[in-house]
Amino acid sequence: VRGVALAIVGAWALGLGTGSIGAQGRAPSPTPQAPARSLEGIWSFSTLTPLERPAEFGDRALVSDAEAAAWVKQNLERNNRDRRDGGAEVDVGRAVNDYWFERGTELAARDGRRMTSLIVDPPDGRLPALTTNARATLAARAADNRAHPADGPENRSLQERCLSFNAGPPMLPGPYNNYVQILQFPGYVIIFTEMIHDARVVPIGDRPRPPASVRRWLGEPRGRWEGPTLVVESAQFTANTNLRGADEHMRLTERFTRIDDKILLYEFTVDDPTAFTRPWRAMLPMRRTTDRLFEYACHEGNYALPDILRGARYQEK
Amino acid sequence: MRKAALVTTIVVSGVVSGLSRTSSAQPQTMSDLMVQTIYPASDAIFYIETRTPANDAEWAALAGQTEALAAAADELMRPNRARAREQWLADGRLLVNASGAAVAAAKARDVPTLASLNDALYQSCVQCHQHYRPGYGTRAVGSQQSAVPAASRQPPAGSLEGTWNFSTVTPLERPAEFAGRATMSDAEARAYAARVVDQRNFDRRPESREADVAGAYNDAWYDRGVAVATVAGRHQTSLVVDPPDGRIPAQTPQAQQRIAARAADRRQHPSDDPEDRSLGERCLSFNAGPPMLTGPYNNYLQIFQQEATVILFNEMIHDARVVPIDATPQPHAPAAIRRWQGDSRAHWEGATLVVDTTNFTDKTSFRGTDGNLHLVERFTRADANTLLYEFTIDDPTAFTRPWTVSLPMTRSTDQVYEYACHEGNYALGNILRGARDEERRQK
Repeated sequence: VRGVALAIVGAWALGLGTGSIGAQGRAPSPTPQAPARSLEGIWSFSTLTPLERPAEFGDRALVSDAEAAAWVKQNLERNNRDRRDGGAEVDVGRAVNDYWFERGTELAARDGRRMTSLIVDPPDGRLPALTTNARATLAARAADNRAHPADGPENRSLQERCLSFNAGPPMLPGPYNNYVQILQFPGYVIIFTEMIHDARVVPIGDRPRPPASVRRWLGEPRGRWEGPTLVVESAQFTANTNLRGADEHMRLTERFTRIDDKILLYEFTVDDPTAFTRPWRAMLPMRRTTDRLFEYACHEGNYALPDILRGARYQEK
Repeated sequence: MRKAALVTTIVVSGVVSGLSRTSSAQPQTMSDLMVQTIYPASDAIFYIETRTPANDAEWAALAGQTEALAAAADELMRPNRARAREQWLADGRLLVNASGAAVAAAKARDVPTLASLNDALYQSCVQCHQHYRPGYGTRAVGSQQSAVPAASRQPPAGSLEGTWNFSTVTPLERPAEFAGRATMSDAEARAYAARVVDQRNFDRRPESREADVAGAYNDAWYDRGVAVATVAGRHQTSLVVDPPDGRIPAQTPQAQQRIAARAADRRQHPSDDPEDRSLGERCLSFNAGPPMLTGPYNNYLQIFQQEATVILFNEMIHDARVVPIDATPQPHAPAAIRRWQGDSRAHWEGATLVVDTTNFTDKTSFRGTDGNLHLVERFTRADANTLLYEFTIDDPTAFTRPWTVSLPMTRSTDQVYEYACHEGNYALGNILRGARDEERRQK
């Protein structure tokens, strides 16, 4: 929109935008040269490894294939949506058949063993504690949600509104559409997720950022190469997205490294001092796939949202 | 919408049976055969799972269509139709087999078998078109701009890259004042642009209160362009460059019927449901197309280019088309797979990138097009600051002839911004709420 664009251009011209959120004392980027388009391809990031380590794995970050297989078997049985046991309410909760899900069938592999959590730092594989402020914010939000569960569409989740999903950033495995296509161009890398068909256009190099008042759903990304690793730093998120308690001050650092023919290692660090008492880091190996990304659809079939609101109005009467 | 689709199907099948009655009396042209019989009957089979006949009459209509398709296949095998004999007969045989099986399946009301015939039917279409439809999948349909020299045979690396602005004051169709003239002089172009910009100024406060309210958005929100479309010094009087009169060609009778039926449905059901409202109001499809056309704002395209892939990234509705570039023409996805943006494949013709798109849904309608739209877009770097964008609309079930648009884009140093639509789309909910309220008051 012109008004916004003019504001940005104006701020740049005055030099206001430069460095307002920029990197803190970062060394100048090496030549923005992609190592032979090493990241290109379509990658699957489905896995059964949860973000946080389940209690049963205790302090073990990695387990053997056999242990992993036993856990997976149990997990798949427990979460199989084609089961019909557990009573009417539980059965209705499983109304969408298992066919529609694509959660993966294994724990993520690393160093010949299996990961028990995607979080690798803190070493306990759990999210660090929230700050006092963040806890207060979340509690206030939860209270507001209880008092106003469906007054307007804004009370419903971003997913129900088809606005934001596990495509992130950062990308995390979800129930389906766990695919990303990466394409490298001179000066840009494009990260194209099947979920919600978001194309993130990442400029490589230190171009000035727009002023801090400009906020985006996907954040404002800047890429650079550290050897064979693509590092993408994003900031200027909106306050509307909320990754496990993160707020609009989140600084997200993603690292993409091609390990071999079949594996792209994706790592990300969430640094959000107003939300978390320390930064935390996750690791998600992605597997090359020969599948193709399909066109995404959400809004065009989203009858649920108006029905939820309609139901709430009916209940009020 | 379902109602509308059924009405359309019935109307079309009526047309087909009407024509097949006359076909024995008078030999049909190849084009008639395709447009009147083969396309609609094939569509009925391709869409069998979403538009399954619901009653005896609809099943009878479908059976009639498959019979008409089988009759058309037989007609293609007649000696007077055959071209290079052996290949033609081999290609035709595929359609004979597929349509014959479809007749039996339609009579048996066997939906799974009809659905399973999609690939065989599609294969028969593609194989024959590859052999006999001039330039199928590779062609440069009606490129009008000889002004751009094809200097290099090799695509220059990164030649299309950058951010391009495709706003312009030149209208799609030629205004009456320029009748008979494809271009205007420099002075005319300046005067015309000044006049259009002035007329469109939303900050004017017209005397009629209604017109004033209709212009409620301030001009700051628009970004419609301020100059006439110009390539190599030629100022275009219309974006349509073929037909030579600069006007969109006539619609086929069946397209007119389809559009009239849809308009009648709209009048009767203006806002029963979200589906009754436009794709624009529903934040589903805009002037980002494809094809792209100048709209009120967000007229920006960013292109990323490498040997095997081009990405066409529109600011409007933040659609990224990831298009494979083929060294030799590759087939499109099977006809049963339909996408909002169609299925695009690209190849180079000298310094021009040609993007060939089929497999559209029948939900988008570009000035009357339907799901049979075959869109050919051409991107040519005309000079340092100009990217020539041309596209040809080839849709034999919608238009009586193909037509071509030329829309020069200018290099921009602006940044493509993140797009928003749904998150602020209170209008759609309010329109439906208003309609319900009106219904209550009329009771």
